[in-house]
Amino acid sequence: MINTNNKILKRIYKDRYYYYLLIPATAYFIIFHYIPIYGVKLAFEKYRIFGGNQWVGLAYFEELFTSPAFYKALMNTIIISGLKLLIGMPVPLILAILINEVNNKYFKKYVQSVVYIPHFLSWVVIAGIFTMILSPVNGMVNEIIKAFGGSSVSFMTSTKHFRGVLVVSELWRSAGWDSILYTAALSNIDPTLYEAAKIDGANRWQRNIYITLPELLKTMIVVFILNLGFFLNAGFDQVFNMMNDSVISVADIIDIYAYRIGLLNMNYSYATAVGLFKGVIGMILIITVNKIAKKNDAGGLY
Amino acid sequence: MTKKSIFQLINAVLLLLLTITTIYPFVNLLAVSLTDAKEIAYMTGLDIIPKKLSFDVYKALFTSPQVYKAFFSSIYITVMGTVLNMVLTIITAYALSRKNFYGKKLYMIFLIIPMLFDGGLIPNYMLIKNLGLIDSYWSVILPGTINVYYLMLLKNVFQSVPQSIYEAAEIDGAGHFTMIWKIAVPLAKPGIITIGLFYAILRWNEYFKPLIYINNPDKWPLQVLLRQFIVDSDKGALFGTQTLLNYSSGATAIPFRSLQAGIIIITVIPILLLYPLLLKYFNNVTVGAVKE
Repeated sequence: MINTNNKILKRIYKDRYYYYLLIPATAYFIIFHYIPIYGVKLAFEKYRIFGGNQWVGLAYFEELFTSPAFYKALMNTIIISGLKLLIGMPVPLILAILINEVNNKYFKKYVQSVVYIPHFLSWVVIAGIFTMILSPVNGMVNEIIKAFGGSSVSFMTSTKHFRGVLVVSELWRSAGWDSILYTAALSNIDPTLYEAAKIDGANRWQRNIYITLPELLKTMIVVFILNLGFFLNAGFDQVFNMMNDSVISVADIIDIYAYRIGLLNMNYSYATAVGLFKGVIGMILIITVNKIAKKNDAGGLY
Repeated sequence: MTKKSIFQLINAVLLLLLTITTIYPFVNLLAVSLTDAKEIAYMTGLDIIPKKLSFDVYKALFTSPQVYKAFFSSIYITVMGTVLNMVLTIITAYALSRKNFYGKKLYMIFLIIPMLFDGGLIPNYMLIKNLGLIDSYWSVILPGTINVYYLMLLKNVFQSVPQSIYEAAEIDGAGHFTMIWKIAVPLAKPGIITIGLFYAILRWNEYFKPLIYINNPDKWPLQVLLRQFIVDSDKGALFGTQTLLNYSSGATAIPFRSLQAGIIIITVIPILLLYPLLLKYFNNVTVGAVKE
């Protein structure tokens, strides 16, 4: 026993410089990640500026589960996330196939370079762009609608259209970048498969249906599973910058709700409880889907 | 025409239209921002050529002390933030890439837990408040010091450096910092540049932390100013009420819409300048990592 302990100590001593190198990162993770994790105990306490917090147990969770506003926020989160997942999933795949079919390598490079750009812009900028192009007065989209004889629609302030705006702006920002995964999967397909199919008389269309698509569907299932892990993140930055008071009934997702309760109404403990609820569900989702992804031999998230 | 070339044509047209929907809004905003105030009413969302060229918007923006200060704040946060990011990410990735030291598996779990669960908005806010960082640039810079995805990416890149090179250097008496600087970093140059650019873009786009942690408008970065100006339509934020009155009552009154377009363009340009560099380096690194 003493002998093995000694061996370990010797090994640690020999590698001591590696531990020294990890000191700054360790300090960073403890201060900026683990202290806030410990800080969620505020969800079980009544926040007081003076005299320390008072333990109240599950009082804030009782408030949470009986609050209609919270259920509304949960429903909005599920609807918006669900729409993004269903509509946002096939588009990058189709885009990757279309790009892959381009023969001219300069045109291919041009398309790829352009469609990746929006991924690098902040949601503040994208919200600004969408506010302007969707403007009912002289925005691009309404100009087109008017040119075809329609009448202006106020997309950003209409509860009927706002979720659609969220899905479309998400696609505008991410579809190009998300297609990279499928492009990588396409380049991994064994070219001899296509050769063999050609010899067997399969045309271009048949080769896409029977070779390319099944291969990409495998990737899509992995992407789907992993996105499911982040289902409760309906996109705080996006909604926060695009929403306004007239659409709050359809846009108030959990994160926005926590922000309003916590930082605007200063109800710190209740907002921490909202955050904790979301964090725990999110963690369970991520661990579960990661297990599924690994079981399917798809390689997990971590 | 053969069936194949018809398909090629339709595909090309489709993709061309797609790239136009990406580029068009920028060109339109640029044209709006460069149009003379008197003609702006005739500029619709479809115009991509300024009706009458004028640089008044940019003159107004660059002489506004608020825009000037915001530009400085953005640069400061981006430069300081990226340097801190790179130093810590490189050191940590190097240490994790070299040896299976005792407890390494446990340390990886220590890094992964924060990816699975984070304290949420209020505990993070309380931390910054308790550290006394409210109203300081460090409230924005410090919380994003290491991104675990980029750390793992760089660790994988470093792992492709042959151990024998390090061993030879060790025999020559090189210390870890010499080996990081002279061996790991030069050999992983495309990876280092890619991750540096990713970090810089994240830093430039930072808006939420400065919005909630920095109350002093003089320290707001461009993104926060843009948000105040576009999302909250707060014209005072950009020029200060007095200057704004001068602008809108003078002979060369600048319309709100032109200013909005101008400030979006200013915020986007630094990213567009970095973008070609990113395209040049990132292909090898990211696609490699995705394949793994």
